Amino acid sequence: MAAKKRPTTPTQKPSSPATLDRLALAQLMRLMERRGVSELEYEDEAYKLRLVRGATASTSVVTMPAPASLPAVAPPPAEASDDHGGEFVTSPFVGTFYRSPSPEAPSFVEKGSLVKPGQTLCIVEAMKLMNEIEAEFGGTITDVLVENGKAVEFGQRLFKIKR
Amino acid sequence: MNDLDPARLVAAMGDPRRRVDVRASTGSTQDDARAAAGDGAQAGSVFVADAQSSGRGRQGRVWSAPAGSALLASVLLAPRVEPRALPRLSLVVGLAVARACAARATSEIGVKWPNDVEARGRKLAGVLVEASFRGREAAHVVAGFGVNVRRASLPDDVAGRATSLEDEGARSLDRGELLAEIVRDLFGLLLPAFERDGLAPLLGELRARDVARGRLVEGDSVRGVALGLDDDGALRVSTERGPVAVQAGEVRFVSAG
Repeated sequence: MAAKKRPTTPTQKPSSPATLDRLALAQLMRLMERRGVSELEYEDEAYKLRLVRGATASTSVVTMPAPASLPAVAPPPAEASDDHGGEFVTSPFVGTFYRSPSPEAPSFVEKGSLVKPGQTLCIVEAMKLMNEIEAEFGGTITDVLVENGKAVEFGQRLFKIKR
Repeated sequence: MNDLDPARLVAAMGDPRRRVDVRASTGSTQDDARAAAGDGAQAGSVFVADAQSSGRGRQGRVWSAPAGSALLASVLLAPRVEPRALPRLSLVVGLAVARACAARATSEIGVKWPNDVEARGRKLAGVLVEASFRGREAAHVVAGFGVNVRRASLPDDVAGRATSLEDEGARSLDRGELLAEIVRDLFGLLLPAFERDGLAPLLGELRARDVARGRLVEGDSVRGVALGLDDDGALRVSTERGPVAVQAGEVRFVSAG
């Protein structure tokens, strides 16, 4: 949310303020609040400003922080290892985590399940895109880290697998 | 099923190399497409059936249809988008189906977020997109859609909440033409635009067709007035604790009474 000041140039409009004071910033933020604007980007010769409202992660099942709070280039949602030899399967996007293909069906895997490469571990659903997360390698599920039906964030750890 | 003649379909889709599988009946075109993907079928392949006994809706719900009554098809996709943007594809497919329906029906065709195609508040078509991920790559993406074409496609228990192209005044009920139009629009126009510029070029039409905006809706853990689609395709809902962006699950309309 920093307003960066660059050297002024002859093309700069005279009306552009030399610095963006705290009062102006506070006014902008209030305006965003009132109008329900979640994100505002502004750029001119002197400033590049980006304001994002509600950037703290919500605990609610279907909410997510404003997208601008995430890095522009996404880190790959691949398995990341921890110190104890297990590797984590993470969510490729924001969505809802399902452990079975339908509410009546048994879970794809349980803690202790031995999985083969390519075996379906769970579904992460977003915008009615049902995404089956498959095991990249074989191993034993040592932990199921999310409850069925819960919201998951991008990159959130879903399972721990030990090769 | 004369309207699903394979040679005519391939010709109408405008690409002689496109694989088009037509079956008299199947369990689910979605399963047919996934099996073919496993056997190396190319993106762009189309799987269609005259009748379907165990078509899938969201979370294992069944979408069945008697012979000749509905357009039941699945297409294989290989969208060149980053994984995080993949769910938005669901909106793109819904839009392709909605546009083809709109070109036929005399009533206004809307989309209930994320991709239920509606007319006069009744469901006309449904879309389900299934993908699989291994590591950081989407292994395959299959988009299935069912369009109620004739009145007979509607089981009694949903007849009050559903409609068909026939009910919406469509002059042509030719499923082959409908499918070819969806495929041409999706692969020729909407998908390339989405791969190049994301949802931005499609947001205007998605918003114009959004039937949720301004209505009281209820999702899995959210209740409030729908404000419309944000730039990422999520449904913004004004709730007691402020606006939230609904990313997943379904929303239901709540009557104000």
